[in-house]
Amino acid sequence: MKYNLRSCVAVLGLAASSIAAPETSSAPTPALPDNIAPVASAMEAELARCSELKRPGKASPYFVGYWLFDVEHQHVEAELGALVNQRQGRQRFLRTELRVGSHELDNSHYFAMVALGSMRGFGAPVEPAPLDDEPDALRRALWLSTDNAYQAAIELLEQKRAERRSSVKHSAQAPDFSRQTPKSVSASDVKPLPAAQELARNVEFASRVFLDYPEVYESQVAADAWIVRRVFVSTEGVRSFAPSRWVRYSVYSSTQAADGMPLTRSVGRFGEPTAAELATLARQTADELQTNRRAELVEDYSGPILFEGEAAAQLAFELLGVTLSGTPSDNGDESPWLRRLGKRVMPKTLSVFDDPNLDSYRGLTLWGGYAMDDDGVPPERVELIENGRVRAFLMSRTPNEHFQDSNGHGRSGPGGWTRGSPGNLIVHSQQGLGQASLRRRLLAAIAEEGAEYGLIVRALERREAASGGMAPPRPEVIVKLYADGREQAVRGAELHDLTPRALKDIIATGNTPSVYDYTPTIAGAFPSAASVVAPSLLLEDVEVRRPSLSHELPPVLPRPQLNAE
Amino acid sequence: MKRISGILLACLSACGASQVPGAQQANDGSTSRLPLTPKSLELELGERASQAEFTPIVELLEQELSRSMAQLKTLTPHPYFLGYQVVDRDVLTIQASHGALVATTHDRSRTLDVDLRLGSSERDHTHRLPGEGRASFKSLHTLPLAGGPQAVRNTLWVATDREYDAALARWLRVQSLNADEEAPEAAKADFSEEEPVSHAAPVLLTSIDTGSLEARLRKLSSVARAFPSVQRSSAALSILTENRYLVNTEGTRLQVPHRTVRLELHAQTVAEDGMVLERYDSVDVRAVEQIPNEAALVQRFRSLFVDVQALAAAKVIEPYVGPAILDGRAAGVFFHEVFGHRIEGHRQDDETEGQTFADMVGQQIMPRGLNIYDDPNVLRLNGTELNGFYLFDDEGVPAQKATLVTDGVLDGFLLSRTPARQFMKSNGHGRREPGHVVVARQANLIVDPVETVSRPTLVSALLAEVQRQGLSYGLRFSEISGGFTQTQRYDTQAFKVIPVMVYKVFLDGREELVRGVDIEGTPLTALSKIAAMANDFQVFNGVCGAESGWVPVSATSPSVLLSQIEVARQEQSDAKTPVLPPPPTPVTPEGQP
Repeated sequence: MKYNLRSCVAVLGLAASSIAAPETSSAPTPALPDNIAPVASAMEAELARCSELKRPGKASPYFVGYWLFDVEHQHVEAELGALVNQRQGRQRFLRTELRVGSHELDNSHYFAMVALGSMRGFGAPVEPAPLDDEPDALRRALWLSTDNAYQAAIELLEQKRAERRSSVKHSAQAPDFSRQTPKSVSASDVKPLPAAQELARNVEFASRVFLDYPEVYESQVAADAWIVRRVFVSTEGVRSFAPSRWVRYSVYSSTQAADGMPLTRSVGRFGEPTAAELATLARQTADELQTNRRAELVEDYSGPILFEGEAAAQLAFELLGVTLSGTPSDNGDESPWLRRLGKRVMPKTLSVFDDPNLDSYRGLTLWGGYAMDDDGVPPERVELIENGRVRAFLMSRTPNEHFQDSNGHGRSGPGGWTRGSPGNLIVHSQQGLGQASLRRRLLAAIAEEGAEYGLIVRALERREAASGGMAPPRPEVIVKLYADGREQAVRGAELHDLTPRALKDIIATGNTPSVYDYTPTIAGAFPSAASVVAPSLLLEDVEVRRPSLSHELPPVLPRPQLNAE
Repeated sequence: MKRISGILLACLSACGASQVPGAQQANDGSTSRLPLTPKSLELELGERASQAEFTPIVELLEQELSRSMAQLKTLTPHPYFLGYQVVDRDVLTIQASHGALVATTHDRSRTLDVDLRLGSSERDHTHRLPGEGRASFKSLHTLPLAGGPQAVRNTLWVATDREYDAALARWLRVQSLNADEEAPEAAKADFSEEEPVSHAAPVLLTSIDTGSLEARLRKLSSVARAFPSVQRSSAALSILTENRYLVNTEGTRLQVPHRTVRLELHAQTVAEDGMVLERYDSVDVRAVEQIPNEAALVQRFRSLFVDVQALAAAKVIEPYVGPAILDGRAAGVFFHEVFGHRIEGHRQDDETEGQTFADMVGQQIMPRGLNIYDDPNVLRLNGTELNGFYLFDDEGVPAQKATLVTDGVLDGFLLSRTPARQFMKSNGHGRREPGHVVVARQANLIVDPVETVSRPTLVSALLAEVQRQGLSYGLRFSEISGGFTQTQRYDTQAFKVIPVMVYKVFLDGREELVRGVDIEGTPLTALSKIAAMANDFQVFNGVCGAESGWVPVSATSPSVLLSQIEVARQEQSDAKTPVLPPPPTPVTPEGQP
């Protein structure tokens, strides 16, 4: 078994491949790095006191978990060759997950108004923690945070019980918390972040490219570098440490067409490219935006659309990212696919799995790996869709009526309850076509429709959250493909009525996978990283509309000459 | 309702007093019968430092200003005024708690505000539209931290173009306004005429030894170890270094630096009944070297812990109507909230406001012998640095002393370049935080009575008044933290400040600390109850938040005897004392009680 993490991970007993069955952590706990052990010990000292936590007539907690997040972040941003923003910092946060009641019914996944304007229950409380490895200050912060969490939890549980008694549920109520004990995990630390000056030089260099593009009105090149170190201890005897590190560059550019229509082009690049590679990416972005600016307005369209390359991977993220989560929302809403368990949702030639233990797939680097999820559970590979049929879901420790146990996909960042979410989500096809064959297949589909042209989407507006098709991202690079093979760029396209059901009508797929990397933003948390891989996807019937009227006017002042000096 | 931390003077508006009680004469226990003691009030004014060179950014701003204006002139309608303000900010903050560092952040930014006016100074696109609230925020643009002429030019272009678009949309609405929709008493212009100024002070650079400051704060914050029952505490230092640049089409060009160093101390606990009790203190200086030494700071911080412990053990106040002394700092906050926010120029012509003082210029609104002014030029008062010091406001107008009350009579308002009633000129009080629309704000509010008594005389006068009203005790407010003032018409016309340290003063002179005190009342009534003022001037330095963002301010006052104040019990919170005792904490030598 391969452990990704940009560091090596030692999972206890090396038996991580079979975590499905709950087991007690009777095995020895792996040693934590020297700088982490005292912090974990201070956390355990407060954890030990939680058994005495009891208000008269109320229950003590049956579970307490403490997370310490140590977050290092660097951000640089440049425009037209000059640095406009630079931030760096390190912060620590404590997340206290405290549960009263029982695994069947506890205070989780319920929120209520406790006083005027004061809501409680939006996940485990998170607060700043001392930056110094100072056990006394940390224990004090834990003491207060635990007390707040306990006082809120007993109130919430009472309200939740009262509400349950007064309502009728038509299906079986899934338990609130899985009965499984995660293994302890310990990884060696990651290498330091790149020097701020290096990031700054890179973004300044790449942003200078836009000086050559008078038709691109605004542009930015930014870099974000993160290290998130997580320490987790719980009353189930877990004592874990897992760091992650990633660098993301992004290029953003915008302009207006001659009629005033706002146009954008945004790209993200994970990893550590050279300044020259970054400049090439910026130039490609600028070229595409300039082409769009001169392109004709799209016409309303309904028919086959080919999503190529990264656009296909992003489409898979948009349609599968939330649909494959097995975690019900706090108000009980579940993925519509839970009711289609075992049913076909894609062509038989397609399968989908998620594996946070991978660090690459068919030559593509993956960024969604981790040694433990945000419930402290080491991740498993999950076969989600096999030969087109739904088999499993991404699970946190919150059960649903079909699945009881976590498969190590609970992710949240420090805020909110964990939700089953992608790590490295991979869509693969048994019958992929080469690029030329795929184009021919699109032309054939157009011919069947008797249409004049078909559409190819090559890039979508970047998003860090999937909407399941509720609000699909706008195409940023989209071309018409005519029967004679000619391509013509169009602008202003909006995807309409594109839901996960559209995946059932995939006509054909490519044979080369592409990856879409993103930083999930869940419940106000700081980011983690995730990757979605898919081959190009040809969908049978997608609707595209031109946007409703825009009120933006083209600039009244001429743009200044920027290359004068 | 917004809860304001103690060192902030928060001044959000809400109020609108439906009924404004007529100005009353000072009541019977007036100072005239008390033996007077002379006051000592030394004001040290900031100097308009010798001219330095303008830095390249100013030249670039001027070039682009001319270029943009030349092109804008070709449009119809075209602006009559264009101004660019650039603010360089370098903010270092260090926070420590219980002997450990909690956060160190260092932020640098250079921002651009564009002010463009369409129409004419008599009537422009900013003209008030009936029933429309004032715009508070505007777009804020980011410029390169240094150099980057191409990026600066491009951003100025984008920002100017957008500002023109927005102004044009509003100008069309202003032009369609009918004469009968206008308030007859409102000012007859939208923008005051001012002389252009040119002033360049040397740019301030930042060079700070973060490590040694972190060590000092860690040590200071470990004072908490001696007070395990006090739940939360922190020591936070913030060093703000600012350089403001302003150019406009009237020919004004400014380069003005500013630095504030602020150390905030905070301690908080919860009483058995769930009442949250907190104390704040702050040190406001202009250089790291001016921060008091460790021993002095430890003593100040310790006294906050002692206070919150005493508060937690104190009795809750019962409702009270009777005389009270507001100590100098508490009185400063009181005047800032009750009076200062109501004499901001932009409130006078705004029919959504309570307009408490709009029609009262020339009338007596306070006891005779009372003078109040606001002077941003004052750098130090009796040796204390004032937070509201500046030489030019954010519209490029030289700071001026605004005479507000003379001998109890209202003279005028705090004014920006937006005229108010009969006042057609700014007095240099137009202020903003970047990204906001400029309005008139307080800077250094100074309450300066002609006749003062000694502190013991003031206390005797309080006890005499207690006796006269047939009560068994009076109240003394020694610390008030910023509250909020409601100035808008649709809210209750009230002010609220948050008393922190309040004592019952018994007839034998004995004092007893009480907690849970809320002052309530309407502004004019409160001002009319001033019976005497001592000669013990105290400064409250703070930061005030209102429509145009957060700005540094000070309020100075001597102790004040009010013949009557109304006090209620605070609303109950749902906080609870912790179930478990605090974790064991070793006590360090400097934290020993």
